[in-house]
Amino acid sequence: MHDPTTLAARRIAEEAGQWLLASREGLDEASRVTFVNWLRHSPAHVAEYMAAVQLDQDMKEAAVREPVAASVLIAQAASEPAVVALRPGAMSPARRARSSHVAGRARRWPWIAGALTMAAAVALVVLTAWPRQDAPPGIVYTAPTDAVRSIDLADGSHIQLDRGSRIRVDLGTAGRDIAVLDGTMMLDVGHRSGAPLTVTLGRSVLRDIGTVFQVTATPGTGEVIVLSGQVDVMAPRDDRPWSWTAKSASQVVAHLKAGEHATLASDGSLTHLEPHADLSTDLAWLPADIDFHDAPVADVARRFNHYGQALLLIDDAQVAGMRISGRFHARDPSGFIAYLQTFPGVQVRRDGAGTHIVRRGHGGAAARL
Amino acid sequence: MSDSPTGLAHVLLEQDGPLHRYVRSRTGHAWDAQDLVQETYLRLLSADPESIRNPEAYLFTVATNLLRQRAGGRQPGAREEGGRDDLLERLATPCHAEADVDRDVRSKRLLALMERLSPKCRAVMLLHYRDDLSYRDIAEQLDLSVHMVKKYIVKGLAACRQGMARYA
Repeated sequence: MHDPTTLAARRIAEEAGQWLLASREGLDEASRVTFVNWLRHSPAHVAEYMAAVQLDQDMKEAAVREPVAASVLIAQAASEPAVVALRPGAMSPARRARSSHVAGRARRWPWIAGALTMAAAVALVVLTAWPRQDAPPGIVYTAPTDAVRSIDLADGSHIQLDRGSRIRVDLGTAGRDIAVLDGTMMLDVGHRSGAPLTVTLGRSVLRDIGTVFQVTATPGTGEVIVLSGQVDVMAPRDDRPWSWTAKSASQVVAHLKAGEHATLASDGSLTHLEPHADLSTDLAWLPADIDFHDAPVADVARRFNHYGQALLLIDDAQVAGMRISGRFHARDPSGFIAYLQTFPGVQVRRDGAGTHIVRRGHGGAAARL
Repeated sequence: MSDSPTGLAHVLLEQDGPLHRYVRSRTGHAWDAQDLVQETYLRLLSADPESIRNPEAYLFTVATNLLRQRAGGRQPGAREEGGRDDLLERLATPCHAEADVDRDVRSKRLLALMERLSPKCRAVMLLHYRDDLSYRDIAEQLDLSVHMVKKYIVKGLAACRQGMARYA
């Protein structure tokens, strides 16, 4: 298993991985030259780096299939001991030399050394196994201050997070909750999970009904803008731990439809409802371009639908599943539509619901978004 | 597995990865993997290191051009590209039905390999690749340093890389 050849291959794989991460973060002049020289050192380095790039892409595709909740992963990681006990005889020569000196002193009071070792072991187990009581469930995503962050969740939801914004995501089998802690989030709700989805905004809770909507949290107020589908605004939550149940369905205080913009006060009450939101202003923070790599046409169309334009509806399953890469102007879907029309049989129809992409002789709505 | 250029090149292109599919779609059959890596490497050696602004893009551009030259020369089974295919080429669009099958197999293998990682390493990998958390966010969630998070990703990638090689 650990023969020199395998170990050498492992070392090159790790070096390739280090350069991959460094490249993703951006290389300065000196690092770039060092990286090129590393590649020039051997064809094995070239092959391994290209394989690392390939693996990096494959990992993204594989990881989304893993159903284990993030909270479970975090708990499992916390239970892994931070210190691994050394097996007798497995110590390095240098460390063995140092420890023999300490052992010599400890031998004078062996019972004290033994007791201290036992106490340290117990403390280690308690510290690593004790759950973190202060952290609410879920994982926190933060957008950098200088760029919009795009996040794909395991349930198929797509989130765009404005600069400096923060959210906490808790995806469970019984329910999904996204808390907007600060700033603005655009949420395109995914349907890989059948669990109900709520969005927590201060003391308010929003319930999704198959939707794309934007939520903004600022000190004192909250804003909700619905682009498609419907959102229910629930009654303000009290200070007790709260969860939505079927029994509390009567607590809905407002049904928001596409194009509506609601303002909520800090106490959770609805203070203003604008039936025709100014989307050009409200969505101005979204990126000007849509970048995608090896993504299904259906997912790309969803991204265009975040911009408040006529909905792009991919009605043909085969077109919806085709994987493409590229970059288009987000606020001008005509280039993307023209591109789709280059595929054999693809036609465009427009009606009140939006722009439909269909194929001649295939009127099915299986892949409709 | 061997770390010789031949061994690594074989692993790189002979397994059912995207690069292999890319090669096959453009040449009509599997390109000689060793030749591609060797030729890419020789182009790299002959280039001025200072002039390579983006090493990763350089590698893949050279490899793609080599494939294109090869496909344009004498492959009777190669696909003719023009019109719509030109556009696909420009957008680097892989649209092949068999790709979905390959993807499925590779994803299952990678998930099985990730199961074997230590709990911390597995958590870091999934929070990074599935949940799209930044290094800083992962460090905060797992009470690690950002340096350790990167180290776990490198270790995890290398372990999966070697595990995938054994499937080849």
